[in-house]
Order: sequence, then structure tokens, then C-alpha cells
Amino acid sequence: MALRDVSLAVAPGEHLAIMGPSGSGKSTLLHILCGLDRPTTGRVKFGGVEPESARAWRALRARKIGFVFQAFNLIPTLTARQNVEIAMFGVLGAAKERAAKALYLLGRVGLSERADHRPAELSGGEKQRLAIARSLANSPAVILADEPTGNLDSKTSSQILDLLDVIRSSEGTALVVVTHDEAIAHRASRLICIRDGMVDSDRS
Amino acid sequence: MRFWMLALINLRRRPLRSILTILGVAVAVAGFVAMVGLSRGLEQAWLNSLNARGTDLLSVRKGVIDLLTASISADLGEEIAKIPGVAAVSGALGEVTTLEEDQTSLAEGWPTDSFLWQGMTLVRGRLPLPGEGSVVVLGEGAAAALRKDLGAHLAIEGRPFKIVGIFRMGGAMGNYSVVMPLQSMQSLIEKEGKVTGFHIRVDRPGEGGRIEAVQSALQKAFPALSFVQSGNMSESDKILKLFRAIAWSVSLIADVIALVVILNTLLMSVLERTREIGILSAVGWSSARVLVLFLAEGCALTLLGGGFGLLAGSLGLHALTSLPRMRGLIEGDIGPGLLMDAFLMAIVLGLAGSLYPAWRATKLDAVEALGYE
Repeated sequence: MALRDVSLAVAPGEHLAIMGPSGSGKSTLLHILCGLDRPTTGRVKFGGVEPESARAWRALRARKIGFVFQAFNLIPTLTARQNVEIAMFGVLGAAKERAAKALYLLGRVGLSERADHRPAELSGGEKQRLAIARSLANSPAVILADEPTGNLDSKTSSQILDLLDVIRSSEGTALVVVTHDEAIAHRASRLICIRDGMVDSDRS
Repeated sequence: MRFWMLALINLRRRPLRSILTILGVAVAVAGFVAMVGLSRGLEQAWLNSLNARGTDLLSVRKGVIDLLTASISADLGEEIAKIPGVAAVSGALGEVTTLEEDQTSLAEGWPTDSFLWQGMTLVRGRLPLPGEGSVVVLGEGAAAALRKDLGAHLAIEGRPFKIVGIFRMGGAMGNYSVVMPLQSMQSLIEKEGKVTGFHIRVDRPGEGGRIEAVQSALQKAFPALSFVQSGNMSESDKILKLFRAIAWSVSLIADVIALVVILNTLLMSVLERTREIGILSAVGWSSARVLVLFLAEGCALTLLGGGFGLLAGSLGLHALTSLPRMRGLIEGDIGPGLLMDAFLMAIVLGLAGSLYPAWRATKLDAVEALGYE
């Protein structure tokens, strides 16, 4: 069992870090928070409502949840702009609207000049900026970031974390960051430590 | 970016595989267009040829497989004419013959007083006169292909015939045929006193049920013969039926191969794009949207293949029916109906071939898919 007796709530606009060693269950917790994984027992509520089906969770992820992965998870055949647009299908109807919003978001993360480049042509930092732009596509209530700087050097990591901070404070978006890096964890206003699938500590 | 654009981008990532799949579909559709077009053309040529002659009923020997190999005593015509409701009867003897320059044509022999001559439009010259031998009238298509005109001699099965008339008659089969007096034809193919069948005109054919009533009376009086309405000839000719069955069977086999090719292409695509499908799930794509994406890719492949196939099939059929050995016997029939059938076939192939891979894509576990290398 990856997680046991985990109970937590994330407030709107909160900056929460989930920390723990490899295999402690922190990524599983993140997946459960966004409905990618379903708990065998227990419940997950979003905005006071418990999504009951995979379909309801997909709809929530489309409109309320942004995701940033350690491995970027960009689609290699699409340009930066198209990678952002992909998250807007089904939310923004018109292709022109999607394109305009994607360009705006690329501008926010400093990638305006790279809009027509494919992921393979971007640096690691640029790829993660692009992933952040995609996570913002539908103005989410929360961004879940799974080791967002795990594949980046320290300088680029710092820039990415600064960017996430700016977005959180300007948009009022809650930010949940999973990390095993103490320096990153201490940037958050609240820190949950997980060990062997259980909450070891939860402090602000 | 529009949704269909995404489908095309996905197809472009493996261009060679997509091209080969399109080619597979194109071959299937081209085969369908050419084979079925040929089969329909052959039937149409028969019907046009019979319609031009004003034939209501055609009699042939019962159970015969190839109409042109049938052999009936010409004297039976007088007996048939005695049946109430029969307005006119004409025996006809036909055979596919080789003319000069490898041109294959339907050669027919008709009595010089037959009503069948009324079905042709004489462009130049005259019809054979009673008692006249070794003369022919030549369809204008055959005349043009052989560069022959009035007064010239035409070798049929090595025997010379003088051309006394050039005619026009419904469809390629008629226009590429050659007609001579019945006795000349009987002598040419050594079937003296025989005909292939009888063309029958019914008295007052426009009256409801009239043709059927005469057909029934004839069938009763001559049980050894089969009487068929000219419009149903293609249903009665076993060779036409066999050809139609072969055309559809070959098309079906080609379709199954194309289906397997599409299935393989899209299953490979789902496997290679497992991680991407996980990403789409993570950003909130619904299962239905993922399903539609793969169906769209399958349909795009088959529509492109179908387009090329329609073109290749039409050109191939045109080339085939232009061959000297074929042009007098078969005309391709690629009407809007056949094109629509081929288009629908492409759509069905696309949907059928992509449904299972698309369903597989929607059933992937998102977390496992995201971790897929």
C-alpha cells in the first residue's frame, strides 16, 4: 500500500510542499490529488465536491488543475504554442482563441520567441517553462508540480521556482510541489513530510 | 491549431508508415473501383445492346452458362412466333471474334428481314440485302479503330467481308460490333441452321403485366428454353453473375488487407504514443476526445488513400477498356453511385480499422502511460 491514513486539505492560494524520500508515496499522493490515481479506500474532494467518476476527474483536470512534471511531458511533434493549446481543447472552442491565449501564456513564462519551436529545440529550463505555461492554460485553481526542478541545474531550478511563486501570488493559484529537496520545500508556506506512505509531519 | 490539424500532425510523424498505409487503402479502393466498375460496365454493355434492339424478351437454352456458346435450332423461331402476344421474333447468332489488328468484337448474324436492324442508326452506306453473303455492317467505333470505311474489306477469323454500312448502336459493345446476315454468320462459325437465341417483341408491351404473361406462356410452351426480360438479362447470365461475384470477392479480400494495414498502423501508433496519451489524460482530455483523435487519424488515412484509389481505379479502368482486346466488349461504368460506394467504403475502412486502436488508447491507465518509456 503506497499511502496510509493520509488526511490533508489544501486551501485556495496556499503554497504547500510535500517532501519525502524516494518511494515514500509523495508522487502517489499527488496523483490521487488530481484523480490520475484513485484511492482504494478514502475520499478526495475538490472544492467540497467529491468527483465520482474518471470522467468527472478528467473534467476537473481540464478546468481546475494544472500539472507540471519532472520529465516535462511535452509532445515532441508539436511546437511550444501547440503544446500549450493542447490543454485547451474542449475548454476554449475557437482555434483563434486557443492560439491567442497560448501566445499570451508563452509570453508570461518568457518563451514568446520560442513559440514555433519544438521541445527538442528547447533547453531544459525552457521545456519546464513551457510545461508551466501549459499548466496555466485554463486558469487553474491549483498547480500540482511533481519534482519540477528534478532535471534542471540549480540556477535554472531557482528561476523556475521563482516563476511558480510569481504565478501563485499574481493568480491566487494554490501550488502543491512534491520534492525531496529541502531548499525547495522551505520556500513553501506549509510543509508536509511523508515517510513510508504516512504523514510524518505537517507544519506551517 | 484545429483538431483535424492535430490528427494530420500525428500522421506526419511516421511519414513512410502513413504513406504505405495510404497506399494499401488506395490499392483496395482502386481494385474496388476497377473490378466493380468493370463488372457493372459489362452488364451495362449488355443491357445497352439489348435495349437498342427493342427486345422485350430474350430466349436462350435453359441452364446455359455462356449465352454465346448456346446453340438452338433456328426453326424454333417460327414456333415461338405462334404464341399469342408475340409480335415479332428474330433469331440471332453471336460470337466474340478477332478482327484485324487484334481488335476483339462481338460479331452477330441476323436475318436480313429481322426487326433487330431497326435498332441501329445507319451512319453511312446500307444494310445487307436479302440473299447477299460476305457483307457486313460495322459499328462506327470498330470502323474508327480499324480505320475502315465503306467498300473496304474486313477480315473476320481470316475470311474477307465487304463493308457495306457503318452504324451506331447503344453502348461500346454495340458500336464496336460487326453484324452480317444470319446465314453468313452460321457459315463463318460453322453453325448452319443454328442461332444463339431469339429476340422477342411483345405485342402492347406497355400494358401492365403483359410482358410477364407472354413470358409465362412461352416458358410453358418451350420448357427447354429460358425466357428472360431484357432488363433482367444481367441477373440471368451466369457469366455476368460469376464475373460480378469475382469482382466483389477480390474487392473484399483487398478491403480486408487494407483493414489489417490500418489496424496495424494505428495499434503501433497507440503503442508509440502511450506516454502522450497519458499526457492528454493528465491535461484533462476526455476518453471520447482521445477516441475521436484516433478515429480521425484512421479516417484521414483512408480518405487520402480513397482519393488516390478513386483516381488510380478510374485511370486503370479507362486504360483497361481502351485495350484493343477489351474496348469492343467492355465499357467501364464509373458513375456517381460507384464513386459514392468507394468513398463510403474508405470511410468504413477508416472507422473499422481505427476503432479498436482508439478504444485501446482510451483504456490506458494514465499514471502507467505517463511512466511509459
